[in-house]
Amino acid sequence: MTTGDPAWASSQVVQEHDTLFRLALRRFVRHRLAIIGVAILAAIAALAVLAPFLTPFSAEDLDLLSIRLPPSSTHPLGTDPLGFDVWSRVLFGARTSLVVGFGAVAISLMIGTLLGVTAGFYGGWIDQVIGRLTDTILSLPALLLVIVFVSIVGPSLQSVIVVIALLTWPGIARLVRGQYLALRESEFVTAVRVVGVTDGAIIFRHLLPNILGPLSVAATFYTAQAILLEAALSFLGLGVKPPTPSWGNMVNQAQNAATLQLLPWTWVPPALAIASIVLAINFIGDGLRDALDPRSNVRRG
Amino acid sequence: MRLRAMTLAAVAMLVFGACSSTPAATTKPSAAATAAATAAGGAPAGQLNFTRLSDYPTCFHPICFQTGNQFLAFQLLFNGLVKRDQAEKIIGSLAEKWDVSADATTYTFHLDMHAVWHDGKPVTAEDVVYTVTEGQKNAQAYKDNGTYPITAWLNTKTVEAVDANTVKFTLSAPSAVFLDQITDPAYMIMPKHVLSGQTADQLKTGDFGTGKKVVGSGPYKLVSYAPDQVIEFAANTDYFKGSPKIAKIFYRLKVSPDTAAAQLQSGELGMVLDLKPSDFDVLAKAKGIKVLQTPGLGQESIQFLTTQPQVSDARVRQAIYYAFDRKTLLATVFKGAGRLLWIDAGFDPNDPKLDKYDFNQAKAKDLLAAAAKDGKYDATKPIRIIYSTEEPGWPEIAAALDSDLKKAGIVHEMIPLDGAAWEAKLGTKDWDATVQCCGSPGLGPFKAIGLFPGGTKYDNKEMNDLFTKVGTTGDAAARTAIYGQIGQILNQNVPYNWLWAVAHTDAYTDKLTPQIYPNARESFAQVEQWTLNP
Amino acid sequence: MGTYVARRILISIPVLFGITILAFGALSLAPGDPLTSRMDPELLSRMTAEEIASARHALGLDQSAPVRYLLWLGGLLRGDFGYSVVNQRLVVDELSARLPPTLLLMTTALLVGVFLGVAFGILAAIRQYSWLDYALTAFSTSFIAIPGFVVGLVMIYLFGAALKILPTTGMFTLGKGNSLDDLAAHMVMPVSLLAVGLSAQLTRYTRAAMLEVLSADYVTTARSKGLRSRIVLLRHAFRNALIPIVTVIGLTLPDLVAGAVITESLFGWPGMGQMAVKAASSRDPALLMGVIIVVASAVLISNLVVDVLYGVADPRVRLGARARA
Repeated sequence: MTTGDPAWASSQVVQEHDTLFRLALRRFVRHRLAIIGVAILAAIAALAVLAPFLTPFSAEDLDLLSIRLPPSSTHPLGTDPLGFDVWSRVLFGARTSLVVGFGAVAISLMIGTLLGVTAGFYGGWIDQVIGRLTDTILSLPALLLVIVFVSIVGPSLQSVIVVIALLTWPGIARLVRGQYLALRESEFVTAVRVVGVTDGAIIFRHLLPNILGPLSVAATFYTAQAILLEAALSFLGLGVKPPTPSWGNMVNQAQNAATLQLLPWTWVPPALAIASIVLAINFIGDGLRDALDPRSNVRRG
Repeated sequence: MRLRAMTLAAVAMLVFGACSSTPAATTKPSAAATAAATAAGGAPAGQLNFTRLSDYPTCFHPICFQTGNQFLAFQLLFNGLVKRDQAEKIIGSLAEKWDVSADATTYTFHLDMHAVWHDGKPVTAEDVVYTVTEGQKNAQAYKDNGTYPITAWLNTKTVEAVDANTVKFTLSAPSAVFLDQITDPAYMIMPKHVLSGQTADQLKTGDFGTGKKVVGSGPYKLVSYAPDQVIEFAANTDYFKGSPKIAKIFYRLKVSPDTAAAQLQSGELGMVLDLKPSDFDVLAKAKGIKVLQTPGLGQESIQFLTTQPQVSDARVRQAIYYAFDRKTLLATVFKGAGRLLWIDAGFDPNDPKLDKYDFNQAKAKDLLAAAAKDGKYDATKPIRIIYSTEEPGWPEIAAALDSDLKKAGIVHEMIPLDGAAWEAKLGTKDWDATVQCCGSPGLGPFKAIGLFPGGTKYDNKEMNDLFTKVGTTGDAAARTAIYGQIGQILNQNVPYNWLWAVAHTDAYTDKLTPQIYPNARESFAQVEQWTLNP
Repeated sequence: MGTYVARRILISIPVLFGITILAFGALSLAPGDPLTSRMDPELLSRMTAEEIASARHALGLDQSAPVRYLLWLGGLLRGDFGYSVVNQRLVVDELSARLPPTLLLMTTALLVGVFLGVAFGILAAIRQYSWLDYALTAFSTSFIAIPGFVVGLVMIYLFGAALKILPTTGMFTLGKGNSLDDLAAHMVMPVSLLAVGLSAQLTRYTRAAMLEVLSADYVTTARSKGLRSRIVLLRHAFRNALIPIVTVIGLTLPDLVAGAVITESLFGWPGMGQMAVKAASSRDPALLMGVIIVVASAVLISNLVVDVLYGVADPRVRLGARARA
């Protein structure tokens, strides 16, 4: 987190770095919604990790003799049409959702940022090549890609993660490129270039912090999006397959009119779980944006 | 894209209702019906919107008859020589009566003199001759289109018009099931004066096949067709069996199974055939809607590729049968919408010699141990079970099977595939068993001779000989006895683990008085009698 | 500008080829073909090897993938989109029947969604950390957070089945002619579902972008010069916030043509999305490629428009001056 002022001495930079980080952290902590978001996310993560100790039933064993049971002391959230314990599946499903959300976005952020930064900063033929690549992916109707891809590799947790990463990286690349395109033409870049700062340093030390705001909003958005996409893939029969529990395939049971109307306890809890994790991630994104905004750093620092 | 339970009706009838297949049955459709309808009701009124949840291919000619859903449209537009009533008994359609020679090689049909095409021209014996000879001529095109086979036409040596209203079929070999075969929609009679001279390709892609200009002889005329959206029909007031009472029928296509129940409740649809069984609970509570479960003819099963080393031994297949608690699954998840099977649905289940394969995991383990001891089964190698995630009910069957096999300690692998991938997989050797459904593959000589093994590749000379014999046996009691023998062989060797015969769930507005057939898509056979109160 | 646009169009042509090769290649890697996917498996298993070979030959499936691709491409260059094996109709007929309903649905949804999203986003940014900000954020995030199909199903059961106030399926009431108000009634639910989803995303992006710009020095400077705050917002802030907004709209444009698969299938809307899924799942090469060509062309054009808009939104991005050593 440098201030981006090339005239500063290196010792000052280290010190300043530390201060700014603490400043950002303080601003983040002050952001009430962001803290609520962190709390929700931490709670969900804790439940996911501790799932085996909190559930009396296995999430992957069905019991045909106790199907469609309403919530009771034995089954706190009831059972679904196949006799799975809903509470167990919500907890173990959290693992799936977290893995899908963060796994897919980690992959797509890496690819998307790298390509977007390169394209936006260098422009020219590099921009052309990367631009055409993103165009190609973005021009193919997403769901057709998914259907064809999943039928080649088969529906599984891994293929869901890969599919979502493949679908989302061009969006990130576009966004990053758009930001860099604007920044690299700015007076500021001209200034640092004049004092002989290398391209790599400009890209990663000076410009990247400037786009962390929009990027963190985008990253949180895509994490949330990945969790929702998993549900959408389940809707199309291309998601994670039972008996592996996922919130997507649980909510998807609401496709069935009878389940939707008569067995709300089977799909409302995972739907609420999806909504709360997506909300939490979005709040965190907002907090990050406010905390990391480098221009506000300059002004207030 | 599946032909569920297409001809099973024929066989069920042959086996159990031998009395009804007496040759030379004569049915006189009430000519009075016409008069009665006109006198009592006047002009047809009302509009019925209906659907059946599946695909509809763009085709209105038997040359591209591929799915059961076409049955519904074909029955509104066309007539065969004969059809079935609600009890699955064969009754006249274009033919008002028929005679069968004692050796079952000559069939003579007497056409209804009042039958006319939608353009006013009379239906004559020449149309029948045209339909049969065109079918024979285009046999290759039928095959290439993946069309339902027209075996009965291909088994016809000669067909001649004795006079304008009489047509005589001479078969190349005696067949006791000719009449059953020609109730299928692939055998609908086509108008010679409209289609004569058209090639197979023109029939399929021309104005007739694509629904732009269809001339039939059925109770309804085609008004318009919007692919994947709707087919509109209007009553044919000149229908020779009496004018239909419902003025318009709209066949809504591509309805999402998820919202079909809602559309019934909102009144956008007046009838839905083959709903999800689980919709029963919702609709049973809805006002103004009748919902019923009808014992059907389709069946769910586990099919084995019996040539695979892991499942080539009958004991392995029996073990999986014993290990799977299908009774509980049917009673709970599927709400009892079906009849438990231990033999193909068309056979007599009450034969005391048949094993019922009641749930018994201990027995399953013993059988597998014995097979392993003889080197016929490797207990460490997984049995690969494939299934399509797009077929209704299969993911549930797969989940329950998976759970039961785990409990029995049978090493296995469940492999979910999308529809096209599953069907492609069936043609390979990369699987040992699959969840399977639908029509009975082994029943009725016309489907069985040389064909029974189907996807199981099960080869048993004794059984094959019995099938050959039954095809040419004229005596109904003798046929029943032979079927009994075949049933015992199948029950012992279980190339399929038959799970249950599926009951279909249908719902309609209580203003409608329909006839729902055991095979739901045959329900329009006598649609001219249906009424719809305003 | 003119040469830039011309160059971009020229560049698009190889991209289009790349897309078709990628799509065709992927489709031929997928197991199954139109024959197996449309035939009854029991019938198929009874056909002899010769019969299957003959049927494949009749459908042109017996050739290798590159040959089939070249044949398809040759046809396309002559203006022939080919024949849909599964639907048994000309692909061009299928496309021309499906495109108008999709364009109608998606354009309406996009207009409504963009209007709501931008308006909400600006409001939330101006009144940052007010109750209005929280309310709008909660509204938009809750619609981001709940899977669309759940909202759609609940809507169908609520407004269709229970209250019976809105039609749930298709574009027109069967047998009632094709009137405009009937069409409008049929559009209410699918358009709302799509527009709310879209506006939820846009609200967040617009808010974030506006806040970014509002805190920037030149806005502060402009304010301190005494410019009235509404003019500051409109002249400076909104214009700069347009970049991410344009990006997001650009990202949703493919759906404009490709259709919203889930919404279309829930509401029985006879659009491209439904057909595309059918084409992919039944491995119908000509139909799938037809869809892809149409969608890809539309997307490439919209990308171009978006890039030009970047230039309009931010004059510092000079289109012609991009090539830098």
